[in-house]
Amino acid sequence: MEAVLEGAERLRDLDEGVLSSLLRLQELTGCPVCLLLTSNLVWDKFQTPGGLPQPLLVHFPQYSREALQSILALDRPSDVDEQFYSGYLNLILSVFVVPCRNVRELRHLARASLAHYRAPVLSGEVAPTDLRRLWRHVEPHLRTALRSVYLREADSAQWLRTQTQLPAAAVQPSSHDQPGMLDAADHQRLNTELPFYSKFLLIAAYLASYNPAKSDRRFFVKRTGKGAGRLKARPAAGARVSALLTGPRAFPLDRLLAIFYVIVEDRVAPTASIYSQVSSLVTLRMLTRLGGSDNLDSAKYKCLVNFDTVKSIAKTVNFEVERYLYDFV
Amino acid sequence: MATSSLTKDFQEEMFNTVFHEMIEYLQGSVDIEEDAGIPTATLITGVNMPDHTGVFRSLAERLRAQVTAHVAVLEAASCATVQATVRAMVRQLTAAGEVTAAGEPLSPDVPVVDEDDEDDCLLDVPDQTSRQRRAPATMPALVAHYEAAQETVASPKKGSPRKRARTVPQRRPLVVVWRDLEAFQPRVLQDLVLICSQYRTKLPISFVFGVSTCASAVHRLLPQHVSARLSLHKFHSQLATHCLAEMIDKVLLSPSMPFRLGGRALRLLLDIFLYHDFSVNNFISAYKFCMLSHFLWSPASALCCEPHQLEERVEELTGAQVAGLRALPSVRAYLDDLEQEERHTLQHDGVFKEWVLHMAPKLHSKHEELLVGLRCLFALTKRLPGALLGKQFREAYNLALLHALPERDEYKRTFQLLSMLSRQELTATLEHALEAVSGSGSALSTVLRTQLDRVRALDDRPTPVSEEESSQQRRLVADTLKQATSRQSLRESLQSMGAARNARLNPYETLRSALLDELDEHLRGLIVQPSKWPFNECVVFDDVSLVRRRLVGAPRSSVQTALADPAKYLQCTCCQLGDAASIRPTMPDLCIVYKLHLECGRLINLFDWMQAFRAVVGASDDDQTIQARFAHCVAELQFLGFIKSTQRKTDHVARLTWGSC
Repeated sequence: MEAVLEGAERLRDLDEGVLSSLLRLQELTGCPVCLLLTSNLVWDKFQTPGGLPQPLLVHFPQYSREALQSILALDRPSDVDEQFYSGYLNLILSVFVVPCRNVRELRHLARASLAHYRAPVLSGEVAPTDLRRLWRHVEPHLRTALRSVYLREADSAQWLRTQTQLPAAAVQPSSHDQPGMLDAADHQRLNTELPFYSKFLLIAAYLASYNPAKSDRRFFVKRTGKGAGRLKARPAAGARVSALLTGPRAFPLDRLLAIFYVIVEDRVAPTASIYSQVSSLVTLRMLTRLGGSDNLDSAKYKCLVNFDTVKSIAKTVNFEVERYLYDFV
Repeated sequence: MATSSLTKDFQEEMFNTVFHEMIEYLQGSVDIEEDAGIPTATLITGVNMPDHTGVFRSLAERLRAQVTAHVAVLEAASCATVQATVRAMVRQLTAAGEVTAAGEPLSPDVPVVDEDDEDDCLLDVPDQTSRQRRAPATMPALVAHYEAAQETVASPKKGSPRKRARTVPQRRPLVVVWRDLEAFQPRVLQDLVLICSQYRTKLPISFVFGVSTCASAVHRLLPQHVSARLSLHKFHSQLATHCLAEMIDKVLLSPSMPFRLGGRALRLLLDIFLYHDFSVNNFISAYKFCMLSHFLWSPASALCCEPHQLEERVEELTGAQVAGLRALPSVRAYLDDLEQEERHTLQHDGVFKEWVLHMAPKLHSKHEELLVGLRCLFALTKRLPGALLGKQFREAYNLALLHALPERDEYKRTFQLLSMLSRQELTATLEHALEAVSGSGSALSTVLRTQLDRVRALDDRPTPVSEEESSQQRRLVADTLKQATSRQSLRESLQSMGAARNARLNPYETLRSALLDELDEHLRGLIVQPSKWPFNECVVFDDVSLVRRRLVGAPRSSVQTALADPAKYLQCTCCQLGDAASIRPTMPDLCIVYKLHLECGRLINLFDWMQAFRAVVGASDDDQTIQARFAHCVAELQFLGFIKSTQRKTDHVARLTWGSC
């Protein structure tokens, strides 16, 4: 009898006795049972202070390229020629093996792109042996696939449909040459449409998280002109640790609302809707609440959104975020 | 009323388009092979969370009707641990046909006890055997239940043996709907996905993820090795703003609806939608509330009804109601414009009622005309740069309700820009406008059609300038050059000649200005501000101050008003304040203490405060209860958040709020 446990590292989180009892299963039960544990971690990470009986360790090395090719060849559908399919696999591996060695992903990619690769052969335009022309036909398709390798945004059917619906877009290589540029699909992936005040609350939360509390006075208090702003000597910009690197800081709710009322141009009444929008942002995981929900008095929040998203949201409301950020001044 | 049926129809239609594709996908999901992963439909719903309840309830109903009986809807609030989630899921999936632990069906009379309820032993039931234990809600139980259900489907009792052998039963998928994905604990979600993907060989489980923000939320919650077990398929529901635009078209502007919103009320509702929550359901509730207020508080609303009911309503009007109608501002303004004799005849109630019966149906037709004219104007401005009347029709409608549109700058600017269009552009714009009004069958569409024909029929060739004219021109130029004495006078004479030449328009331009004048005249006749119609107060609701406080809650200002001016809420005669800052001894203790603390600075001395309280209440020095009452009020103020205790000075409290009386 064998028992196989996948993801054995989760056993460490359970009661201490569980792992040591499981390792001694044969001894405790008297039955001829063999236990197999599979895990991504090395055995040293499993050790407990009480010690564990040493199991037989088998190391499973990563697949080599030839091994990957032979594994993927097992997936060949019955109506495809073996030679043709191995040429296709060679192509897929040469494109994708650098970012991705995961067999599951490679199988998914091979399955998704096969129809597109075979299309000119089935329609008779290109001979099955003319590898150069086949490559040229499938290259833009593979390039778009490369941009979203691990994402699995759409299953093969939907993805194929979007690819065939935009053949012109897939063929144009110009937009794909610049790696930093995002196209329309990426924008849709990242951005979401928020109500007007929610956008300002999010921007205020970002400013509260990434600006130190002492700089609020400089940015948000209206200058009346009297009294030169006395700045203490700050360390040089290089020596200052950028808040963008250390991550967001916690801020109390009052500070968020104070900044919000300053950056919104019109007069906003403190209605219940504003407070409920803050809670909605927490539910949407754009802010997070620290300190648990029982502490009603001093609620602290943290902003979880990154700079690019905030910048694009600020652009939709004509607000310049950089002017109010401590790191950019 | 007709509103609820209209809104219900609208909501059904809204969901149809979104769910149709998704249901097809889920119906086919049983056939997806196991290696591809759990078929997952990601429904990107948008940020309007109050609407999600309705959306998912409708989705669950449709799934139960069209796809499978095994549907489970999971909410983040009730699924804090993996155990709770699995229990909820299995309970819902096996809801039809629950069994006890022994395998018999549950009888409805005997109380049910859960296998894993921990406080079971605390229940004091005398007869232990009279309870039945429900089967534990685990995955193997679900597998057993599903296989049993499939067998009953596979072996139907009816039909000949040959027929039974021929029909191959289709396996029904098990659909689990995750209502608000972002709110789930990531750990719980990951474990559930891993568990369900393990059971995929025995149970054809499919997921529906309800995502509020964007598709990448799934990837943010799930690590790669988990999301690789899903086969994701995206579905977008309609944007909330589009839903609102359609709803306004179908419900608010519908010709069968006698009630209309005024400019200010519509602006308030739109502001709440756009600035706060994007929720169509809240908009509908606010609209119904406005309607309710109109019928409750406005006596003229007796005439707000369907046209065929008007006659009997007018018959039933009492003398007081007629006097009220006569006092309406729009009626008074109209009567002032009339001649003396006509006004005199209308003093008589009977004649007045006849006149009301004559004028009231016109309100509806005038509104229709307004809509037709506005749609035409909006179609004309849509193609011009600058979005003069807004990007959506509702903004143009709101503008027309608030102001007299033909007097506005936007209107004049529109016609200025239109007078600069070229021939193709003008043709295209007119076609666009014709399309917008063609459904209404009004006079405007015929006018537009004739105009369009005239523009199209215009001869393309430029009229040849006659010979004499050109030679005359040349002589004029030569004379002017000879007469010029200085550069200044030459420049002036050339400019005047150029202006004179430009004043001679070509045929297209003359036609264009004639067309635009005609269009302007028609539109001015149609687009009349509703507040100018007599009797508009019967059907138009514009009293925003009445509803604003109810629709938009302001907790802090209500608390402060209650404490500073208790007579407003208590409606008692003893606490009427002449001056906002005065304190009366008859006010409740809390109000007195609150008003006293407003007079203090940042730190308040408790003893002085209590002495002031004692002075206001007018108690003698040896009254023991004063201290108790005072302490009670201080504790309440601390609870409300106006003061807090401070370490800085002993026996002092710090004040937390500033401003306001």
